Amino acid sequence: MSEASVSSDTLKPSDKLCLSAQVRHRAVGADGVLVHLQNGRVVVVNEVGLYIVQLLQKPITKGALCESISSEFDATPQQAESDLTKFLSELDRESIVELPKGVDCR
Amino acid sequence: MSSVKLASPWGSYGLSFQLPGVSISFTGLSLSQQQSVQQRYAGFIGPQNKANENYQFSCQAYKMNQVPDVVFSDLVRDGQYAPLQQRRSGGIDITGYDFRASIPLEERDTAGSLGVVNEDELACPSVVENVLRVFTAYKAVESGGVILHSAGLVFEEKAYIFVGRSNAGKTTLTRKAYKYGAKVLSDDINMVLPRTNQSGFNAHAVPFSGEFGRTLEHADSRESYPLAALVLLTQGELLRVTTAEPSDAVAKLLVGSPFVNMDTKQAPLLFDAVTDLAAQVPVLRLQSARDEPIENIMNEVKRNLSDV
Repeated sequence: MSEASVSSDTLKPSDKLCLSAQVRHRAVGADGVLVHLQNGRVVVVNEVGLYIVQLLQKPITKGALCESISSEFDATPQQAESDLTKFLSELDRESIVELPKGVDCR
Repeated sequence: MSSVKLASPWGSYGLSFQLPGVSISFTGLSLSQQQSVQQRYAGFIGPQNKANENYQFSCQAYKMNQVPDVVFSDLVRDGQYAPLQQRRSGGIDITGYDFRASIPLEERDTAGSLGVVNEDELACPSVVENVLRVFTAYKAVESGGVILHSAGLVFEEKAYIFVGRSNAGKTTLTRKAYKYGAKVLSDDINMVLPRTNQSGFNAHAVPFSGEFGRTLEHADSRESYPLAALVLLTQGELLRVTTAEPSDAVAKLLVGSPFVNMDTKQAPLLFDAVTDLAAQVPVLRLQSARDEPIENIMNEVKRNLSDV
């Protein structure tokens, strides 16, 4: 298992991220609502956030996320990466995203 | 049938709670415990009807030799006393600082238990009511409804549920509404369930109250009112009522659904229930000062509803 933090600079390009097993989510209109079952916190994300959350249901690299966002929402790769980094950092702070345990990310 | 090995019961008396959609029979009570519970929850005690469609379980009261071995800080959540809940196969165990309960959730007519050390503790709201709250929260979700941390107020035979956490202003609002002539379902926990054979939801009387207490002489657990609106309480000084965004409504209703919103098994059902609720019932956001007159608040709420 990788020692890298989801939000740290030490995240390797090959490291795969995924939603915490403690998180459940649902689309409500264009937004997404996420519940963390361990701490009871509830988070609302917008349409782009919901798209990312749905991608995070399976382990995925940050690079692959960037590519998907860039093509789906017509953003430049630089803009997509910048926004994604901020968003992942917020998800990390809420313990919503993690590096999957026991998954060979390489 | 549960095979819980119990210490000795307190006595041979019993009674049956009739709550919306569920019946709970307590056995093994002493006469004093039976009388105390009957007195405190008069409108919700009734004969057990074996033929009804309600989910039923019997709960045997027993004497515990010592209080549960728990650290008090583990029983506090968001500054409030909150007994520990542990989901297990077929049910849930609840541990408070002075009681231990086991509740079956998945099979009808199965047995549970409620143990206390001191005889007079059983009828205390911190014991019997906590057990009932958790149980009804689970059963409400299974029925497509939910219980909410809220003030339940009835104006002109329609229910308005003001949702908010502790210190959000529920009791203050309840006091003002009561003086204004509103009926009060509860100033702390309210149950909303889908109407039978028609769209919409009803707010049901439940024996759960906070600081204000119940002022309504609830006839029985069948007492309910059509739910006109859910109102999310927010902090602010100027009176303002707006329609909540659907995702915000669902998020706030999830946060306001105690006991079940951290249970992995219940999560899909709870999501379904609050999503349906937010889709069928107007959800508003209310911002107001604590001393804002209730008539101003309700006028603004009704004006907003007429615009919806």
